[in-house]
Amino acid sequence: MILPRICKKSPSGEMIYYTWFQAMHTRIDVAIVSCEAEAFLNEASQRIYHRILDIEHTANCFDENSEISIVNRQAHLGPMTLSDELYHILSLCMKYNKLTFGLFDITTDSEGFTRETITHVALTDERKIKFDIPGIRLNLSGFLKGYALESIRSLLKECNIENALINMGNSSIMALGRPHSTQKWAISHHMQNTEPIQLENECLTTSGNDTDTRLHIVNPRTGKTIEGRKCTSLVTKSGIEGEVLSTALFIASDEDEEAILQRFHVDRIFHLG
Amino acid sequence: MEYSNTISRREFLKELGILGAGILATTSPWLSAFGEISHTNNERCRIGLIGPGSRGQFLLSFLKKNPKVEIAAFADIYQPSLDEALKAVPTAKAYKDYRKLLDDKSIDAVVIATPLNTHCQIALDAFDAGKNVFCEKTIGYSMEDCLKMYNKHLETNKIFFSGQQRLFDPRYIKAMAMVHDGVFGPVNCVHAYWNRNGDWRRPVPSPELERHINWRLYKEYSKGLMTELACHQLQVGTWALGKLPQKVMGHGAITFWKDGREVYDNINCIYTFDNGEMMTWGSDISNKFYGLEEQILGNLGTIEPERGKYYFENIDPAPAFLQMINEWENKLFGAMPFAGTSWAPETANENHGEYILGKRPETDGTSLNLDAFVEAVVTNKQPERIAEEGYYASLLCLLGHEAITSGTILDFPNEFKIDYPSYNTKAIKES
Repeated sequence: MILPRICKKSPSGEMIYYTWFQAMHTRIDVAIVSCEAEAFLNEASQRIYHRILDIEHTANCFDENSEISIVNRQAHLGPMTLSDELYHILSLCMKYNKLTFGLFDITTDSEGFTRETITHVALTDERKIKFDIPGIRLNLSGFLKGYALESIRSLLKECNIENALINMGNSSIMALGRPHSTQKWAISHHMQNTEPIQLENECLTTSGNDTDTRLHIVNPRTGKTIEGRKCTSLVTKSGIEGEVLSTALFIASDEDEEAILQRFHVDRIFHLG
Repeated sequence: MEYSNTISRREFLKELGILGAGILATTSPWLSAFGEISHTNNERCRIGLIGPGSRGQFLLSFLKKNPKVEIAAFADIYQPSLDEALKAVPTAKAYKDYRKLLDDKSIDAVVIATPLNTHCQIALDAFDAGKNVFCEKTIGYSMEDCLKMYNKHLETNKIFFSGQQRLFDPRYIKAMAMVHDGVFGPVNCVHAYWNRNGDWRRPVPSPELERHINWRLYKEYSKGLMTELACHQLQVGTWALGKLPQKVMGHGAITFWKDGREVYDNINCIYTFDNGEMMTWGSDISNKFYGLEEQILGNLGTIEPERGKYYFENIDPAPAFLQMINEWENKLFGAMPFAGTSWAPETANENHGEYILGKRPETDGTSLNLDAFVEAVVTNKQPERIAEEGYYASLLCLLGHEAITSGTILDFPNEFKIDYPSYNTKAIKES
């Protein structure tokens, strides 16, 4: 697919290159600041696009043909061998479940979910997975954008692109370098009039409810969705940790938050609403 | 946007937003007309307006606002038009015979807004009299007329503009820059149409003046919708595609307004290009619902410049990112207000598109077209490619008309090709 793009060159020859597309059930915006030729940046953006499609094909539970969807349908029947990538993703998710005291949980969509459901997901060293009970549904939505951001970071590094802004559906943003030597990337929150958040080699991740009715984050402790129009945003070095922690800290009590923050470095945290 | 002696190319470029001088030079080279605008503030251009009827007076309303312009004279065979024009500029001279106006050596340029069948002779006489010429479109009644006019412009080395105001309309210029930059992917099709609901008649004070006043409806004077409306829109299509069509076919009829008129009130033409691209042009003056538009269709998106909007096939660009790109040249980035909870397809708005200039269109380029003509006259520099665009736009109308009347598929006639790098055409020289 040819991606749409808009680019503009400054008098000094530096170019801002912008492309956007829809994938992983969200919109993705990629802005690159570079002195490279447009054709080179076209190629880089194509690589990003295809990398995202690969991730989607592996781990998007909204796609019934993805590997994760097949796992969700069949893993209760017996052990299944996973691709390296999905095994890596699921291993990370299990690790973060423990590190967040169970508040980050990829099994909350399962039938008859309880906080014990995740213990019925068995990952083995042989890259196999098995569900001990039927009805388990793994949903990686609260993880995948951060994972995709880190994948894009690696691709951009391979292309020697140092300055870029990547937006995954407004909730997961990675700012690499700066748009200009005198300025960091400045992002503000569309839900509230907060001061612009200055980012440089950092990620801004948000979890929450933007309306009173579109509720989708389940508290694994209660099995119920979090109510009310509110959200939690945080600035981290890693897109993956931002993704995991924004969900966990949106749910967390003050005590849980304090305990979780002992285990991670979060640069800034904002509870809005 | 005010156009006065304070106008500068910089302000014009600002209106064009994200474009730099480089892209403008390739997509709209005639904007070089404004290159010396700040150095010509003390220059004056004496203009004679030939044909101060309704269109002529519309042009006059803009010319009067340009402090570099002195309206020296009017010429028209219809006294009420002269009287009306003199109300606007009482100091101007008035002539019944345009040749008397041309005899006035102090007049630098003429604006021709007469019935179509008279354009050619007036323009040829004007060039021969040493005048620079702005001629309303379609420039000539026949392809032969158009070629004679263009060649006379080359021979006399006088400035030659036509009334193709879209060439100076900021939203069209920016839209074309985006099209040529590949933002919407390859353009495969252009659908242009101009629909109205009206008989296109003007009030006639006495029956013997019917053909004189309503000249657009009679074959002797005009070729109707093809020459009076299509010219603007066909030029937009070739501007977008960057080439001329190879073949033309069409059909026309008098379907609704059977009131004695001789020109069609219902027309459709198809122009086909070398790679299979197509441009359609249609006009029906018994229904105005869809109005006028040039829909430029690329595989990534659509532009509707008349509405001033573009639309992407999948999802729109994010407004915050567009704003950042717009501010790129100034390096003054404001905060980008988009962070929040997850965007999902079901939460996306309907595709209402984005304004090409970031706002509703405010001008149609007529004023800038005339300002550019004045600048060209005072600097004595013919802007690149402006005469050629007007020439080929006129030819496309006339060729469409010929295809309709002959009922055949016509090839673009080689004998009417001129040297024009934008469309990669060369004149065939007689041996």
